[in-house]
Amino acid sequence: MRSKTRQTIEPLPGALAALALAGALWGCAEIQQVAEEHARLSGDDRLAKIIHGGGTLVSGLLPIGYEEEQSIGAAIALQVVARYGGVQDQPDLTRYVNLVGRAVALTCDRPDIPYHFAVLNHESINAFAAPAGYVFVTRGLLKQIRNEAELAAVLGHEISHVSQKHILEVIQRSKQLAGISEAGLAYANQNPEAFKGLIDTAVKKLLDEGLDQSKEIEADTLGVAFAARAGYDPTANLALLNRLRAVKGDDRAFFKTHPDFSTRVAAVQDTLQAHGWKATGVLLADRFTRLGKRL
Amino acid sequence: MIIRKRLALVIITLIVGIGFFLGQAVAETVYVQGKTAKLRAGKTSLDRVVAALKFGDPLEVLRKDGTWFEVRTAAGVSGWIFANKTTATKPSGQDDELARLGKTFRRTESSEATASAGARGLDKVSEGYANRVGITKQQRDAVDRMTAYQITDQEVEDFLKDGGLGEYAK
Repeated sequence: MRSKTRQTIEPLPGALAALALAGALWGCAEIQQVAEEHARLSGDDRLAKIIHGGGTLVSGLLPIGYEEEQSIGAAIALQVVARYGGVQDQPDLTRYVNLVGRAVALTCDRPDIPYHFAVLNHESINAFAAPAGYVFVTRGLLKQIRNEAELAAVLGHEISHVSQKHILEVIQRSKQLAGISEAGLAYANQNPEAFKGLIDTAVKKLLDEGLDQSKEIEADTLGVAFAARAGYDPTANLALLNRLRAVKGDDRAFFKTHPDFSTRVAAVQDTLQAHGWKATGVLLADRFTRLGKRL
Repeated sequence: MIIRKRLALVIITLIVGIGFFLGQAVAETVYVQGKTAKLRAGKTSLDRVVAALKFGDPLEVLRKDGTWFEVRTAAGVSGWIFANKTTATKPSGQDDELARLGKTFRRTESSEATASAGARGLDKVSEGYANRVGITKQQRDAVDRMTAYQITDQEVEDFLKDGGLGEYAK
């Protein structure tokens, strides 16, 4: 009798597992639930758990969606603003930085999301990007910049952190390490403390430790390309990097989160050479002095 | 005589066919690299716009002339596009299979287009986060304003024109 029961149920686990996998792969959570429920009713709790775990694993491996990215980006932006003295409240300057930023963002590899730009009321020399298009430049860095093409290069660098999803990769790894494998924002609503943990990790990486050097070099390379596509002089970034290299004192704090200057300058030079880009003289120093130097 | 005529016809057909095939095979395709781009009747920014293009649209290159390409769209419209608005490889910013699968899995998620259409400040999750970590009202308002800040693509276009950037180069 026992062996007869086994015979009728034995083919079931394979079929159920296949059904669950198909459900997970095609995004039909209902199929996964039916398979899981069926396994449980058949008395096979172990298989039910495997199906549940498999579906969760698959969803955890999927890229973070835009809705979740927006919440993550806004939360990180809140921390950047809190730690860097708030946002400079000057409508004309805000508009100008947004116009330059959006001119570059429209030519980037991810132009179909909105980008937001703001000047941080802080004397240190730095710039940051958070997911979902939040880009910040400090007052201190703006003071070092001499023309619109240099500003476009800085914003292009930050835009490429967003377009290449560099910070989202950090979040995705943290999610896996923390065992959060649900897709979407359900976990953030159910477990706000877990969401806070993810944001804390990302903020630490972004503001204190710095992203991986390879990401920074990629951002330099793409930033130059995005600014050049918008029409700015592609060599502007070199002039800025060389000027920043000479900065002394506390402002050097910025450099611990970025690769050394010779590496960055070499990466930019390689990009210029690869594309055959030369100085065009489109720097727009006058417009920058008129609109971007109102600090 | 008839055989010769037929043979000539076959040869001509073959030549035309092979020519057509080679034409198809060597036609260069570029893609729109930019949220939008304008296809113009001529190779200056003053020329009439004949089609509005969007990110990732494939274009067959007919001729290259300096910083402008003469192209044909998939719909068959020919015109000129500023070369910097194109890329030889399909733009990577578009969703890959995995990202599309992710979207299917999160069925309740709004699309990027829907989400970007209504930039409206902080959402529930980030608002909850702000409360939890003690972000001040002033800081919250700053990010809220930043998120909701609107500049139209047309304003950016006018800004490019004013600066003589890209296709508006003087």
